[in-house]
Amino acid sequence: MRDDEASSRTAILAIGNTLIATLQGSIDDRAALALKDDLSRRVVATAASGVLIELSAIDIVDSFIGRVIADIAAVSKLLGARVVVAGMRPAVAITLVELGLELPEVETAVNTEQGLALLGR
Amino acid sequence: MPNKKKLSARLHDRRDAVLAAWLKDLDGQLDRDTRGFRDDASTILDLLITQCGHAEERWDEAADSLTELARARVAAGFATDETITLVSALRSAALREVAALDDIELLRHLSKLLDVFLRYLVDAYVEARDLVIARQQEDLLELSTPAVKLWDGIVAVPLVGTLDSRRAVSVMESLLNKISETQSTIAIIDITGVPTVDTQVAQHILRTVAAARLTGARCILCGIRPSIAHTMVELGIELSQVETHANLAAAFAAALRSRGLDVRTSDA
Repeated sequence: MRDDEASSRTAILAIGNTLIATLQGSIDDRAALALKDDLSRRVVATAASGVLIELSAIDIVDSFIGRVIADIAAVSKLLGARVVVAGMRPAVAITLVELGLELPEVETAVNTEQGLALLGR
Repeated sequence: MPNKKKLSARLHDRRDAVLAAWLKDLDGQLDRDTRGFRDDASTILDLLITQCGHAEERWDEAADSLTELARARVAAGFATDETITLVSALRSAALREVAALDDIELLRHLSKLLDVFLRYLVDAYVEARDLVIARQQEDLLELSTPAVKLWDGIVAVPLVGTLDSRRAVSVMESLLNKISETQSTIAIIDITGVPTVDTQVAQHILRTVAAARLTGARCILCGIRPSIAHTMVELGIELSQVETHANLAAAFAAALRSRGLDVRTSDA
């Protein structure tokens, strides 16, 4: 059970002041919640100024995942980090807008490179 | 109870005469060359003869064949009234032959059958027409919503025509796909060709802007006509989060500027 939990966790990379989390296509609700906890802990531990969430591998989102992304952005902001969502696919964007989750507090970028540029790297 | 066997046998015996009379009649009534009809006409006549012979009313087979025929007619560009003329000419030709038997029941039965034939043909005809219209609507939808790349990192979608929900979705999809395909950071929405903007259309535009933002592109709106601008203000439509410009040229210039590009007259 412990192993399962560990393997379903999303890896978070730190480059300088920026944290990068790459979400995988198979992310489930538990993994999303784990990511939310891990990210907030890491932001505090590393005093990161920016968080980049890379979504290009995600084909489908539901309202829960969308809500988690919005929460991550809000929490990170409180902890003093900017959040950029990068590489969101068209279908995912349309779904989020249909769900009313327009993520106004999140900055966006077409890909990781531009996301990092936005965060000043 | 009409003697169906007798009716079927009579039409079968006089098949060639009926066919000839029918085609001759059509020749006089239709403006087009009827020679191409011969095959269709004999198919329809054979169907009728078979149908006359059935003790029970069984239409599945005949209905399929008639639908098939009607589809071919639509593909060949036939009008509805021509299809009706086709069947009424058959009616007079067939009734003439059966009238010789001097049996009112048979005439009545034949007439009833022909009515059903006509109904199937016209139904199938209208259905086939509807299919053509639906397909053309699809085509139009595709044609009218092309997202184009204007420059590295800049895409545009020129909207033409009324923006209903179906088209709005199609526009959103084509724009977002283009953004992700070209990895663009700026998307220009040109509504010069949109005749009216009501609250619903504005809602569609705002949704597109929100979705484009999520994929990482900023939207610039342009081409709002003065009268439309007035209407929008009167309706209280709020587009303040969206950057707007008077026309496509101004929007494109702004897009180039924000990507750090500059357009200059060459020195030479």
